[in-house]
Amino acid sequence: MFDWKFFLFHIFKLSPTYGAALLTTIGLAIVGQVLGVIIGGLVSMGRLSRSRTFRWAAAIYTWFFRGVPELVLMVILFTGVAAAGLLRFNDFAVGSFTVSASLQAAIVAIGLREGAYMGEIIRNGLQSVNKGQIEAARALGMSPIRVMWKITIPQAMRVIVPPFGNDFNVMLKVTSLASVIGVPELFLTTQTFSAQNFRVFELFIGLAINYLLLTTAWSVIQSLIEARLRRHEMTAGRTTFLRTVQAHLIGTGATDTGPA
Amino acid sequence: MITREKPIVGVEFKIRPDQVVVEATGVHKWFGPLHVLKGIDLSITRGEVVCIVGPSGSGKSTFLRTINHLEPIDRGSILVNGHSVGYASMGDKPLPQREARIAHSRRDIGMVFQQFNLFWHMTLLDNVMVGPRTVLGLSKDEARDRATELLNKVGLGEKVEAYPQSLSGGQQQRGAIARALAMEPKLMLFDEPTSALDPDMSREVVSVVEKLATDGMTMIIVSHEMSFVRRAATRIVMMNGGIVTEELRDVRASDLSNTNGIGAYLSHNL
Repeated sequence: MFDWKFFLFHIFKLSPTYGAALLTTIGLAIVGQVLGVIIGGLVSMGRLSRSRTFRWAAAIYTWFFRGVPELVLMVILFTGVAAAGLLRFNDFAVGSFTVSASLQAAIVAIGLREGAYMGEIIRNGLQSVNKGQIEAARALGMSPIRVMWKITIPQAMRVIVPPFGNDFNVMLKVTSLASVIGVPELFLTTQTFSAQNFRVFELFIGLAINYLLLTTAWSVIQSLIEARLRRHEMTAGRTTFLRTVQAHLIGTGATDTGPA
Repeated sequence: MITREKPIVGVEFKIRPDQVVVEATGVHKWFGPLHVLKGIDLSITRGEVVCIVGPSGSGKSTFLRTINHLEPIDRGSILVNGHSVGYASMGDKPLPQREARIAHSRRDIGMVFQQFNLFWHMTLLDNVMVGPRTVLGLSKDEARDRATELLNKVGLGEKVEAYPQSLSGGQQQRGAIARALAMEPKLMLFDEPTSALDPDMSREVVSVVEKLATDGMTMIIVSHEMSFVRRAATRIVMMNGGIVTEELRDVRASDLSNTNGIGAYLSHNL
């Protein structure tokens, strides 16, 4: 029998434990993604490098971290590497917040994996930039670094952001794997609750709704970012917030002509 | 020879006819096994408007692109205002400079492309401002003033906030010319500036170029457009098979309808 009272109470009253778990999930996803973008930037540079060595290194990195499941990676990093006496993660404190060893291992594992995917996404974005645009910037006398920051990266963003958003959506859910090495994020915390009161169904339906809220919030944010990157395509007038979000969630149909 | 009315750019060009702007000597270039430039010698003085004509594949565009070093050269030398662009020592084997150094040399050389290449993620105003802002270090206000003035002069005063996508080809090309002029270049290179435009839009661009010529801007134009030759050129250079085959100086005093050489080429092809 579905216990509605318990269910609603659980959803609308955040216990401190559950709140901490929520923050851990969000934090893990964001830090993991940031790490992934940084590594991905380096990997894409390696992939596009003139040096054969760098190209090889980046290719091997991508091959490895795209191929090994993050769950396996987490266990190897958290227990295997320590067991082999190579590296042991230790708890440390950031202000009043303790970053546990397991959380560190989870961040590193997720970041390494995401770096491989972001590397491909960023490389594809950089390569999509029209050569004429870069030539025009060089002809103005911009140095390679200025061309990169003023022209290449802003234009590549248009191509990078949609798959990046997709990845972050996946990332929000992938954080649940960290439960295996004992990171008290949403999944593990919910599991612990259910072990105490056996309301598995209510708790996990609540958890599903929780993940949905997170990914929905991200979808809205992503749609706003993409709308900003598409400013140049807007013909007349300003579009509304709701229309932007709606266009992102359900598309605009066959009239959507895509990038020029 | 050159009459001046209102200058299109805020600065007056000091015309000393003896002053050499471009000095190309024995320029060779290979694309792999393909020998595209086979020893180009060309000297262009201040205020000249040189039209380079010739059949497709004759190396005209490639030569133009070597002047601001968008294409490296394999042998010979090119000096712009007495300085080599892209090479440190001008021996028989040119020694390439670092990209940042080359970028510095390109400030004084404006370039206009066949495909306009306006930065599509920026408004027209930002397109014209970005060079002076980032390369010349102008303040936002100075750069905006300069950009607004130039856009007004090429007839795009109403379009400053528009993105390139919403502009016609002719408007984009005039915007691209304004963008190049915002750097206050001493030399302008035009690479087939009207080839992607219909006749009406070509006319808009030609008239802007014509005004620039009147102001005394030194220009090199690679084009199949007869009206450049008729209305702006002071010299015609014909290229074929990677060499300069013929030159006609003092175009404005010449009869272009003669039946041999450049005259014949023009009447056949333009």
